[in-house]
Amino acid sequence: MSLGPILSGRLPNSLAISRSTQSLQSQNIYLQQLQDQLSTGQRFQLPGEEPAHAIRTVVLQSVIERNEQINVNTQQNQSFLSATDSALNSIGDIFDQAKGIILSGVGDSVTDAERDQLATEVGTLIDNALNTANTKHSGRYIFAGTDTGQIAFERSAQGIRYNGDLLETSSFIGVDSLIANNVNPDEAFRPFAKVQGVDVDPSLATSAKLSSLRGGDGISDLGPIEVTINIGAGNVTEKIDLTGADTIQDIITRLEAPFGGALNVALDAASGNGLELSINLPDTGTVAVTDIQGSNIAKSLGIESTAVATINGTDLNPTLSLQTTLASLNNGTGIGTTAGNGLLITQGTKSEVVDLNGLTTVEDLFNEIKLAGFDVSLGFTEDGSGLEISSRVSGANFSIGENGGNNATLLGIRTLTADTELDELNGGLGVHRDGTNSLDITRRDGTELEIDLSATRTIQDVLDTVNAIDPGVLVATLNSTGNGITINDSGAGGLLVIEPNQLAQDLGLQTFSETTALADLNEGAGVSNESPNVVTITQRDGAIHNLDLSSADTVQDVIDAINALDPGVLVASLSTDGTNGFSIADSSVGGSLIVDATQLAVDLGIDGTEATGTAPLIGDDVNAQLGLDNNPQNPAGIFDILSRLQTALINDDNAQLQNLDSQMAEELGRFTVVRGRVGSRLKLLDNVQDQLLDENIQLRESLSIEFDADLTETITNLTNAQTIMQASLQVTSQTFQLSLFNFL
Amino acid sequence: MGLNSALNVASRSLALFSTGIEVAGHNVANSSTPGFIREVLDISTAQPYEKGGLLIGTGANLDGIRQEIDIHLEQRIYGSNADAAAAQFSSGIYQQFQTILNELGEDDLSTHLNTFVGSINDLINQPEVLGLRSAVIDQATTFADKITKIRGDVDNLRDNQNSEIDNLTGEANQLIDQIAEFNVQIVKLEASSNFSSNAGGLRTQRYEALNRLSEILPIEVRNTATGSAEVFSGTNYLVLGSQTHHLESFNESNDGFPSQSVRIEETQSPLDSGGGELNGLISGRDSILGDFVGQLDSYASAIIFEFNKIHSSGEGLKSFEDVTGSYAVDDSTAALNDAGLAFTPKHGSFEIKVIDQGTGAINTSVISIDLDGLGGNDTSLDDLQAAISGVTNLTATVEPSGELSISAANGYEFRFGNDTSDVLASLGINTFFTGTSSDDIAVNSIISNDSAFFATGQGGGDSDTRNAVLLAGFIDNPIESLNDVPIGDFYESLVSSIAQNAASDGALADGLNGFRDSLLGQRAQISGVSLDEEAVLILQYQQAYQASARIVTTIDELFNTLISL
Repeated sequence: MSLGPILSGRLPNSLAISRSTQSLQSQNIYLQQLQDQLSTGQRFQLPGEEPAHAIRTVVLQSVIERNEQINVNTQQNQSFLSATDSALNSIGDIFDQAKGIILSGVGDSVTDAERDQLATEVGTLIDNALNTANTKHSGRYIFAGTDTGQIAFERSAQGIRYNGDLLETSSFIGVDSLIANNVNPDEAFRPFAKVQGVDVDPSLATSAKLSSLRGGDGISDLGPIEVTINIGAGNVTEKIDLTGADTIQDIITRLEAPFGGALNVALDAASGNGLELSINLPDTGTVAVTDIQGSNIAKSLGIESTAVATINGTDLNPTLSLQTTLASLNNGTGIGTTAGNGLLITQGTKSEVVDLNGLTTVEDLFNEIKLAGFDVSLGFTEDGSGLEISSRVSGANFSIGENGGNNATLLGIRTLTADTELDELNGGLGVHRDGTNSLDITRRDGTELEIDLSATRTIQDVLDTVNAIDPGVLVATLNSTGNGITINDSGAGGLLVIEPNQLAQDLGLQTFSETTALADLNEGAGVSNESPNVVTITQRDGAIHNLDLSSADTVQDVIDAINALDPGVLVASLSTDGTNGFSIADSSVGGSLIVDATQLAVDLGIDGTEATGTAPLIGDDVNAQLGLDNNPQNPAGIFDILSRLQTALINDDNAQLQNLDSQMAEELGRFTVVRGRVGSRLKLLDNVQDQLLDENIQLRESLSIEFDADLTETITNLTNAQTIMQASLQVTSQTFQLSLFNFL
Repeated sequence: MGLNSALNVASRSLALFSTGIEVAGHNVANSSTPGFIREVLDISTAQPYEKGGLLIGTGANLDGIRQEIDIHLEQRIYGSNADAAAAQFSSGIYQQFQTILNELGEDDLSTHLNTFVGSINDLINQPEVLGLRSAVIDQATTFADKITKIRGDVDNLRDNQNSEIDNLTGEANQLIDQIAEFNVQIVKLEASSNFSSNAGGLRTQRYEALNRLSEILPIEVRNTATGSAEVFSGTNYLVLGSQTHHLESFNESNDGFPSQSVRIEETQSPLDSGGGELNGLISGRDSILGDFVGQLDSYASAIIFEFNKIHSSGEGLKSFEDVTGSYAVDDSTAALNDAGLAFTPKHGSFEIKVIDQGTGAINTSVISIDLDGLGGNDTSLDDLQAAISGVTNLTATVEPSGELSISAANGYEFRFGNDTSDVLASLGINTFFTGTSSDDIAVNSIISNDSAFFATGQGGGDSDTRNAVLLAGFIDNPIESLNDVPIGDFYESLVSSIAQNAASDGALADGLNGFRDSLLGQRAQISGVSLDEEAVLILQYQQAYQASARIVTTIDELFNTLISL
């Protein structure tokens, strides 16, 4: 409250009283304000009292509140990353121990017993690694991606299965600044065997999202473009705003709308992957599309053009989505006949045909593969051009092959194709081509060939080289079922024999022999293992044998089992007529030798009745000329390496041990980088925390300056105000005592 | 005439001086009466008479008792009363309003927003801790409650102002009637007097009434020769002699809020806007609180829509078996952007994923929302219902009240994703907040009943927090409906403009009060009672009286001398 000026002249008592009252009031208010400052410690109680300070106070308070949260985040992140760091440290130790075991196990001087012992040690290492990889911190499996509620790695029938995903769990350490507080399990453990499909070129659909075009770069910053048509009555130009368009159909609708049917916009029928703009009538009509200066939307849409009768847009290269139809793949040519075909997927010992018949979209395909019971993760390659199917199981081979047709190839996910490079085969070991390892073949007519493959680089090169020798007769192809190379000789004579040298083995080439695995028969489909696994043989003399082949693995095992039934009388051998099958001869007398048509007998090709009483029973061709799949996919991480190390030690596989040594060194190098990254993130968090602490001190200091009452100042002011008040009271009371009436 | 005449003069003087002492006594007695205007005795020299070529004086005449007042100063005081009262009231509203916001304390809205976002951060840090999901819901509920609480408090304040307006209107009408009554009495009393302020006490009371009336509304006063005061407000008279116009308060809706307004009852013309408590209250209520409510509504609806837009494209730990939207359309056949939704969807699409609970197989469908206004095929709610019903194992229905319901066939459930059209947020499906403004913002009961529906992920594992990261980041996203300002900054700038306005209104009120006080000081200097002055006057009258009495004695002695001759 302010006191106005006193005019010259009279000073009535009422004025003196009101002025004194006002002055006492304002002094009282001031005293009260000082008292409030002292009792609250705040310099002001309402923002309006000190707006500039109050605004800064509100902002500072908010920043401090948010920084406190960031501090909590940082501490949480540090806690998780420290746990991660120490777990990775343990894994590093396991690498070192494994390396020691390889060094002890490699070489000819090591005995089988010693290797078995080492294999047991590897088993312990795997257990240790499993424990570490399943580290639980604050209720979270830290290596399970975002699936933190379930155990990350666990043993399954096929190997060691990864249950998590590959996502990072991130948290804010600043505005717009995220940090992952886990390591991507894909980096730390590489638990996936990834089949990264090739570009399958889906054709353009009207429902395609603009964001999916141009290989996923999309078409952004949509705005106006200019379309000019001429239908004989001069140019008609329309500026068409494409803002807000979401799909190709939106573009079509907007381009056509202003021209009332004169302009046709459709998917380019010829290429299938762009837009086509044409004039309805007359034939001489033209259309032109230009960008507004400074934009390149028409160019991005591939339809920028000078005046022409028809604009055929360029390839918009849409990426794959779950809704992409299988029929639209490969520029609209689809994935081939699916009926009776499909995919042959092998994961460890599990091999299943995935029937694609009747499936429409990529999502249907994914669902079908999931329903087949494989431990896989399904998605798209990083650039969105191909499918990515990943096996989650370490220690198990994973391959995707054909089942008669070419579905896998056309889906771009066959694990062995003509383009596969020879160096990639056999888990990256490649094939031996040291000159002495030429492919040695004895043809059915007895001709011996030494095929020099030293100049070949891909599977296609190998096929071409073989096919050039006797075109149409000696034919090398990819297996029609599964994966591998098949060489077929349609000439006459004995068996086609491929010398099982290192090169042939590396190429997976094998011929039918005693050592052929039953699993490789019937184009890789193997033989029935359904119960009862029995072949029923009735001898000429009427003796009936129920032969149990459940423990038979190779052709020799089958031959041995039959020969043991009636030694010397019932004799089995490889087929005597040059086909790839069995022969069974019975020297007892009576009726005919009969093998019942159980599924197992059919698969072995030995069902039926012998032709006459004297000839042996010649089995059917068991289609075992197939090459083996020499390009199975494996995860590259520690679990796969340890599993293979264990197997190699048990199998005394020196070559594999040496191979694993180099793979382990490579993986350890990569793993060390991952650990380094965790370390640097921890360092970053330390820095953030230091910075937060400094900042907090500064902020609180600023807040204090803005908001806190300066006690010294306040108390001084209070004392001062009290003195003034006292003086004022005294003067007022004394002044009012003076009156002329006292002298009347 | 001689001695007799002199005796007459002396006796009149005695009466005059005793009246003088009476007036001074009256002034002294009223020296503490608020608003009292001191009175002075008007004395003049009496008419002389001629006697023998001499002009002989006849003493002094008592002309009357006059109030010492500056009429022009009064007019200025009325004007400054109106200005100061208006400023005082709006400053008072700011005070109360700032107390409601309590922005400097621990329980303010910006702290609650930070705590809410902080709780999302905590969840992002440890998504596997289920309790943290509930904590987010709790904080969100507290935050939403805080908004509705502030809104409720401001509405209460506005309600109080409505009652205050009614009270002031009543008081003004009483004053108007009093002034008219005083007019009649003063005119009657002063009719036969030469002086314009004979009815001193009544005039003082009328001045008081006018003074108070000028605080309530802007007035202009004209004093007539007959002694009545004519009171005008704007172009309307309130008092004209004994005629009066009264004020009436009436209800009008202001942005949906019932608000009292004031007009002249007889002419229905609006109140003059030149200041006064009534105008201070009305403009404080409408421009300070009303504007704030408007801003708070923008804030709340931006939070609801922006948060829901992100939330509706995410996935919780659970899928829906059925869900009903929280926002209804007025017309299910109209295009969705013209169907009466509070939040407007745009052209785009969203994904709906139907999951087979038995096998886990997922069937994703893209539902297009055509709102390009072309081809006459824009999507209505009925179209959307048909499109969703076209998805295998899903059924959608439009509720009679206009919401969309979606339910899955037995053994199936569904989730949402990638909504580029904002239609899910507009229809209130898979949303976090319900409501549209500051008075009804709340956490969706689906989520508050089961925090597993809080959509933190985007299709990953249980600890997938990709959506939660976006939700926590929304506080820093520029928001189109708030002129591309992030939500936190918007509120801060709102608070800062309130603080600045409060300060400038406070300073204005102080200034205007000071001006009024200085005018009142001037008035007091002119019209106030000075005891010393009155004492001097009393002394003066006393001595004059004594002198006059001495004259009487002297004449008496002279008469005795004569008689004794």
